[in-house]
Amino acid sequence: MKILVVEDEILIQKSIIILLQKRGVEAYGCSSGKEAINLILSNDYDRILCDLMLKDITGFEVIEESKKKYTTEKIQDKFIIMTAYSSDNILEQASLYDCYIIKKPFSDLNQVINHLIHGHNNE
Amino acid sequence: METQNTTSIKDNRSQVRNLFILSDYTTKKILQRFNLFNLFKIKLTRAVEKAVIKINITEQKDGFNCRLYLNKTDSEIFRKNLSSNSLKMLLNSIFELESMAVNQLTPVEYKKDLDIFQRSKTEVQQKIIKLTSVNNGSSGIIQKTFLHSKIFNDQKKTNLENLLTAIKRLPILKSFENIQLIIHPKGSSVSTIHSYSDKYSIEHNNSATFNSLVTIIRKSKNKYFNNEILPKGYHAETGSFVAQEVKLKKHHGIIVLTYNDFLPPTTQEIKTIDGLTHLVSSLLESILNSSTKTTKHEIMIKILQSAPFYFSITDKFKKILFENNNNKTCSISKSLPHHYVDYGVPSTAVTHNIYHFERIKILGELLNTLRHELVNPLLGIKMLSDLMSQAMPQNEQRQMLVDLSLNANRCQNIIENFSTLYQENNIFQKTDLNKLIHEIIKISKSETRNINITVFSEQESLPVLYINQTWLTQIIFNLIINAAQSIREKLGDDIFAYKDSYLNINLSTDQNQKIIIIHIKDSGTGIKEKDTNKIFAPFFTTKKRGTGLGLSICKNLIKKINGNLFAENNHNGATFTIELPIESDNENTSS
Repeated sequence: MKILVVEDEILIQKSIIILLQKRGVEAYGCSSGKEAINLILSNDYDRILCDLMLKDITGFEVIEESKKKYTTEKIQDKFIIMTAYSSDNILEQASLYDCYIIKKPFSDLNQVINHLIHGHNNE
Repeated sequence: METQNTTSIKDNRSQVRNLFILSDYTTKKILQRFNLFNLFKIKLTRAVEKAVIKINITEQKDGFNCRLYLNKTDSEIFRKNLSSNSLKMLLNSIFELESMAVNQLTPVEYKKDLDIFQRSKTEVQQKIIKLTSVNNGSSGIIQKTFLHSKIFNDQKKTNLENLLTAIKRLPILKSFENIQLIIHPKGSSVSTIHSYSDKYSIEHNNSATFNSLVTIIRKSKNKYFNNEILPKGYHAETGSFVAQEVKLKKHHGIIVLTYNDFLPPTTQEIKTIDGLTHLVSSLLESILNSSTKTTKHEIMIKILQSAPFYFSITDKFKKILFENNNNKTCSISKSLPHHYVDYGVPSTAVTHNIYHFERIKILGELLNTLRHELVNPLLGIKMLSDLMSQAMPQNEQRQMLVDLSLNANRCQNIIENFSTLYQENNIFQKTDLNKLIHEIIKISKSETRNINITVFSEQESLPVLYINQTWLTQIIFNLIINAAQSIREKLGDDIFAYKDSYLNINLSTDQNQKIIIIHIKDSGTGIKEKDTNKIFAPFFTTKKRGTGLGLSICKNLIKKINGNLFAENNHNGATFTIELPIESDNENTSS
């Protein structure tokens, strides 16, 4: 299983990757949105955990770019949105993609990891 | 022409004075102006041209009864009780019509029965000559100048009331009972009806009716209408009216002159009104514009008066022309641009308050941003330290990593708690009061250090409280901070003195278990007697750096959660009491 973690807070990115690797997942991380787009377009990931506020662009833009490669249903399945700015506005925009949304700070890290591995249906 | 020989017949009954038979010219005109052709479905055929209207006037106790008959059918087409004045007016109109008939046809001889109207035959004829001469040429100009001088004489006190009164009093328009001026500011949804009949009145109407009226008036050629077409809310219900549209820069206007009488206005009157609208429009423009200016001026003063901070306007000699102090009423000078406008100059105390007010506002926004910015790094620290501690064997380093994680978590909680303080939401949630108070004490730690805080609950378990936690937190937080600052003010920097200080929070319920009572008791400076009434007022403070907003905010918030807040002195310091209602339909389970 291949998972990409797009997160510009390096401590969070590293922790999630370590935990995923412990579970035997092939986990990759990147900090910038542009880098993420390149990786997504050139690799096949089973799941992409994407933060909304990146240094260069927003997570929404990463998803929009990924539409070149994936259908709407696939995006819905592959992408998991992560955000600390849980304002109504952003949540509303995020819900348009119908992706699973994780709000930061999360209390149960294991739940997040389980979700990343098993997907939306096996919570 | 068979009806040329106008006759009068004396009725047998004494009170019936006369019966006029009018010339067919007048008859036709009356039929036309009254729209009687439509009413009786009479077509303007040769037969009608020969029709004669008989007017039967009967004297009665309180006036005259006037009936119109159409000779062809002898059917009554009009019946109305008239005052002697109205009757005179009616006959004047008829004379006028007849005078036109005179011009167009052959001379008519009036019977001396007319004398009952205090007019001799010569008088009548003179009047006819006068009326006819007005219709010819130059006298129109005389009329205009007369109107002009009449209206503009009153220019010094120009407002709509005076204008309408002046128009109403014009002798030429004396036969109109009511004058209405409907003003519709462009783009507004409301139009205003200014009426003058015997006194001035204002009504408001929506612009839909105004628009429909404008359409009707524009389509009409002679600008003369039956009152039935007037939308609801306009003055007269019977009779007819003459209307003219007035186009202004910022407004649309209609001048409506109403006849409650049965004879239509004369051509002369219609012409006069036509001229009048041209004359009036410039005057109207200036009146309306000045009234919007006045309104603007009033609104501006109101805004300035209710500004949340001190505001004054001074001239260059620093003389105060206006200040928004409610105790003093000063009017603003109209020549505003020549004066200096100062914001909060008078006292430094006031300016302090303004800045504090602003700062409090910014604080809320700042905390929100801070929370967002801190969430990520704190979460990272927590997660990595968790991971590292798990990878470590049981030793001192592992314990340090656990502490690191716990502290990162605490930072997270503190920032979370602070930002919820500034949330404006009205959610009443199930609340564990004991737990809440301990959390509040935690976040107020920096202010309360060295002070002994004890929470004491009279009951083992308090009833469950449904309340807005954010607001209650804010209230208790404020009171604890106040208490702590008061103790600090009393004891100063002497750390050893603090061992006897106390800040007791006492939780209890009333006898009926309907109210939860929180006493916050401190060993501080207490409340000075002269300040007792002022402590909850905004901007009142005894602290050097106080905003004076804390208790006033508390008082507002406690109202929002249906509670009560009091203050009193105890033998050592001050006690603040919060009363919170317990919803009776909720279970009294322990919290």
